[in-house]
Formats: sequence, structure tokens, C-alpha cells
Amino acid sequence: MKRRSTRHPGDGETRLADLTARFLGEPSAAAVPTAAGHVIDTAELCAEAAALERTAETLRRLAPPTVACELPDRILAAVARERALERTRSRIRFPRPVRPLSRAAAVFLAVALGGVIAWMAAVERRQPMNDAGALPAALDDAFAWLRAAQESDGSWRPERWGGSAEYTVGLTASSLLALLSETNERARVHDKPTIERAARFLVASQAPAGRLGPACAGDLYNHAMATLALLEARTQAPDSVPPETIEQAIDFIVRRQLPSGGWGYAGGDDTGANTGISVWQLMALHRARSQGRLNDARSLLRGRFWLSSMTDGRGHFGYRKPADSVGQDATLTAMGAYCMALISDGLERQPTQPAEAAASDAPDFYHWFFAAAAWTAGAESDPRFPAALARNLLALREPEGELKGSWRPVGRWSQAGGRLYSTSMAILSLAQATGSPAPRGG
Amino acid sequence: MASTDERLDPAGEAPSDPTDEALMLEARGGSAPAFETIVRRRHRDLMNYFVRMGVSTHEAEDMTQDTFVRLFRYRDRYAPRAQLRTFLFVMARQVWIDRWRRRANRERREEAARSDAEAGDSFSTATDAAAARAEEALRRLPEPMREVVSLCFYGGLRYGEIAEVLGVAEGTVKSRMFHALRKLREEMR
Repeated sequence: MKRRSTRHPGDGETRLADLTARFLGEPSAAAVPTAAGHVIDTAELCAEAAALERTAETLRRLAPPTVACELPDRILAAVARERALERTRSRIRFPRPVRPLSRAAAVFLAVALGGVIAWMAAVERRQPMNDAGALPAALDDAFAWLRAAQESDGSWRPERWGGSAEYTVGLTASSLLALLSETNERARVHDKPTIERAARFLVASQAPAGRLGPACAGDLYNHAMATLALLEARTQAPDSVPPETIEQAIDFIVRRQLPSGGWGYAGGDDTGANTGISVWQLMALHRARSQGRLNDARSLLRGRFWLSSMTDGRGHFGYRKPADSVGQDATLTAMGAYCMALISDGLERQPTQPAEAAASDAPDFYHWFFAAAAWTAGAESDPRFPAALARNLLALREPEGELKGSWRPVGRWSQAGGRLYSTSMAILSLAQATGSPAPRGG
Repeated sequence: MASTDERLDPAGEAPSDPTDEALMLEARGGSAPAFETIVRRRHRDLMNYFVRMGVSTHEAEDMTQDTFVRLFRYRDRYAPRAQLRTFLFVMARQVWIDRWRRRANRERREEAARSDAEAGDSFSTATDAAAARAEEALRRLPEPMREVVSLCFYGGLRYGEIAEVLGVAEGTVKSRMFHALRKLREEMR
């Protein structure tokens, strides 16, 4: 029945492609006879067709991926936000009779405005951010001050510098992160003992439950900052950070996650989840994940879902619910925008207004840090931001005396964090906005 | 051999249920329940497609969400004569291109694969050695071939629909499928 025929070399492949279509149930191939019934088919051709069919069967039998049961609800929530956004857009449409004219005017204005903004940005970019090398010198002085301020046990003591002892672990962590942002290789070698001492202090602060730092209402601030600093320190001083310390610290964050997916103060219920605490936990989880140290990514996913539920229709983030700015709209939005950009690898970009805030607001190191982080992570922001930030920060540093290199503890949170807080946040902000690979949870 | 119907309706839509197309028309008219039904019916197909395209499960969830948001955003562009499934996969493919391929340099992929594997978030669903080999072979398949295989086996699309999604001739789909299966067979030996 089967015989070798005088065929074109491509015939076999064409025939096999037809047979493949047939066993895949393609209607267009319904008329193609089976391999066995086709007069020009060779034994090899039939065997190959059968093998391909078996391959197709194996592919079909692959089990589908596990799909989180909350996924449809999450999708529907995103669609609901899109619907709300549409309603907002439709409310600001021009009345129909004037719409064509208004659209033309709007296009003209947008183009003109875009040109002006681009020109201003170009002018701004041409302005050196670090006039006469002021910025590198400021950072060198800051690192020197931080090194000198370290205690013999590896910690930095806030009470010596106008802060509260309750945050020793958190501020040791932020000081360590600031030192780790130093990119100069010589300085890194020089700093290694400083880094190791600080890491060991943080490791020693771990309680049996896995918490880094003391039990207090805001323990998760201390804990997440310390976790982040230890994850980062491991890259430079691996021997000083035991893997089990990291593992327990991550477990602690996961255990403290509230059913809603966010995190809040100790002892609070599910309604207490807030953006301030949650963002720090997400930064730590994300960093752990990027180092392959997160055993279960669901916590990160749930946190991300919770955080995205904090946005209003304009992309601003609330504290405990959308539009709940508690007077810190710019900071919360920078935090949320940064975190969303970070944990989505820069794909979810939220607008921020860091340049305006950096240029006009009262000093706020906390906001500046997150605005810089958002800028680095790719959140949408004004291109003039790094220059504005550098100008504002340079104006607040101590230029002379024994405090030379540190930053004046002014603005919100400086009463709690003191000079260690202002200096470490200023260093981290500058390192990020000026392109140093500062540790930023990612 | 799997039946044609099984491939065409991986979501298991019962004959009495409204079709996707009918639901989409309702959704275009403003019906939220109709859109919800589409989401609940089709999200697994999209997840399966994204995962077989080499995306981790958590990112596949994001991409599935993005696809439905786009479907909602562009619902007015849906032509009633077109299969909703085709329309949906055109968008899914665009999401995949936007969010994955353009940024997926080798390093990022390696990092994602490593961290996923360590985090237990791997997209492997293999239950035996043969399935594991098949998954691995699928992962190594060149992108144009993998697209055809994923859309056919895991998206439930016919050659003509795949051709529409990819913007190529149906003959190209046929040829790619054949070469893909041959390559997979060789890899799985």
C-alpha cells in the first residue's frame, strides 16, 4: 500500500503539516485523508505523523497553572477603577457644540506648553546639579560624619543626636543603608568594618519571634528598615548576616500581614493597615524576592493588591483608604508611586509631583527620600526634580564645625529621628536622585 | 485525540449559557454582570497562555488583569461579527509584548526564573517526567513557534484565529505549528 514516490523534497513536510492540522481538528484540513490512507505516504512519514500527534497529546495534557481564587475579583476591582476613571474623564469633556474648536485649542496649547516645559527642562539639565563639585564633597563629608558617629557596638544612637532611643534599630538601619550607597570602591573597602559592625548589631537585635528591634507600636518600621539593611549588607559583608536571621525576619513580616493584605501598627485590627508601614514591608519583601530569599511570593502579591486599592482616580495614594491623605498627600503619593513602580519592575507608573514639592514645600526628608526613590524607580515625575532636590538638600547641610557633613534635623519627623534621620535620608535621597546605585528595596 | 469542541471551549461553557459574543455586546451596552461573566469564564485561558509564554504565575496574573482592563477600555471597538476570543487574545498578545518581551533582556529573565523557582512561584505544572520535559522543551521553543503552540493548545484558538491574532497568513500558522511540534518532539526525546 505504501510506496516511495518521486516527490518534491518539500512534499513530505507539506504533507506532515497537513496531517498535523488534521489531528488538531482544523476544519480546513478536514478533507485531508489520514496518513495511512494517503498513497504517497511512506512508512517514515506515517511514523513521524504519529509521533507528532503523540507530542501534541503530551502538550495537551500539561496541567493548567494554579490560578489564585481572588484573581477574578482583583480583575473586576481594576475594571471598576477604570470605569470610575472613565466617568471622571467624561465629566470634564467639553460641551459638544464647542468640542472641535476646543480640542484644536487644547492641542495647540498642549504642544506649546510641552515645548516650553521641554525647553525649561533642557535649561535645567544644563545647570550643573553639583555646582563646583559641591555635591560629591557634601556626600564625602556626610559619609565621614556617619562613620564617626557610629558607636563601638555598631549602632547609631539617636538620643545622642536629638532623636528617640525607640528608633535605634531603624536609624542604625537607615545609617547603614546610607553607607552602603557609597559607590566609591576605595570607600567601600574602608567602610567594611563599619558595615560589619552595624550588621552584627542589627542581627543581635532580633527577638526569638524574628522581630528586629524592640516590641513597640511602630515595631514594623524598625523591623522593615533593618531587614532591608541586612539584605543589602549581605551583598557586601555576607559573613556578618546569617541566612536564618533574614529568613526569620521575612517570616515575621509575612506573619504580621493583615487579612486585607496591608500592614499596620502592632495590636491594630485589619482596618489599621496603612500605606506608611506597608510600603516599608513591601520594599523588604521585594528586596528579599530579588535575592531569591522569599519562599512564598503571595504575601508580596497581596500587599501589592492592597496598596493599589489605596489609590484614588487621580493616582494619589491614601493612608488607610483612598483620598485619606492625613495632610501628607505628596509623601503618601511618592511612597505609593515608588512602591508600585518598584514591585512591578517599573511597569506601573504613577504620577508624582516631587519637583514642585522639593522646590516649595517645607523641608521634609521623608518625602524627599520617597520622591527620589520614585524618580529612580521610574515613576512619572518632573525632569527638574534631581536639581531641585540637590539644591534644597545642600542648603540644609552643616558646612562647618564638628557637625560638618550632617544635615540639620528640621521638618517633619526630625524630632523623633534627629540628626541621624535627616542625614541618612538626605544621603539616600541624593544617592538615588543623582544616579548612585543606592539600596532602594530593589 | 482531543475533540475539537474540547479545544474550542477550554472554559467549559455550557451550551445554554450566553456566548462570549452576546455577553460582550451586553458589556458594551454597560452591563457590568456581563463583563464579570466574561472575566470569570476566560481568565484561566489567559493565565494559561501567559504562563506557557514563559511568564511567572504572579506576572501572568498582572498581565491577565491588564488584558481585561484593556478589553473594557476598548469594548466599543469590538465588532460583533468577530470572535471575542480572538479579540481578547489580540489584546493579551499586545500586553505580553508591552510588558514582557520589550523589557525581557536575558538577565531579567534569568533573574525571574531563578527567583520564581526559589520562591515556589514557578510556572511549572509538571506532574511527571514527560510533562516536565514537555514544559522545558516548550520554554526553549523559539518565540514565533511558542506563540502558535500556546494560542492553539492553551488559548483554544483555531489556525485562522491564530493567524488573525498574529497578523500572519494561515499557511504560516500551519507551517509554524508543524515545525514547532517537530522541534518539541526532538527536544522531548
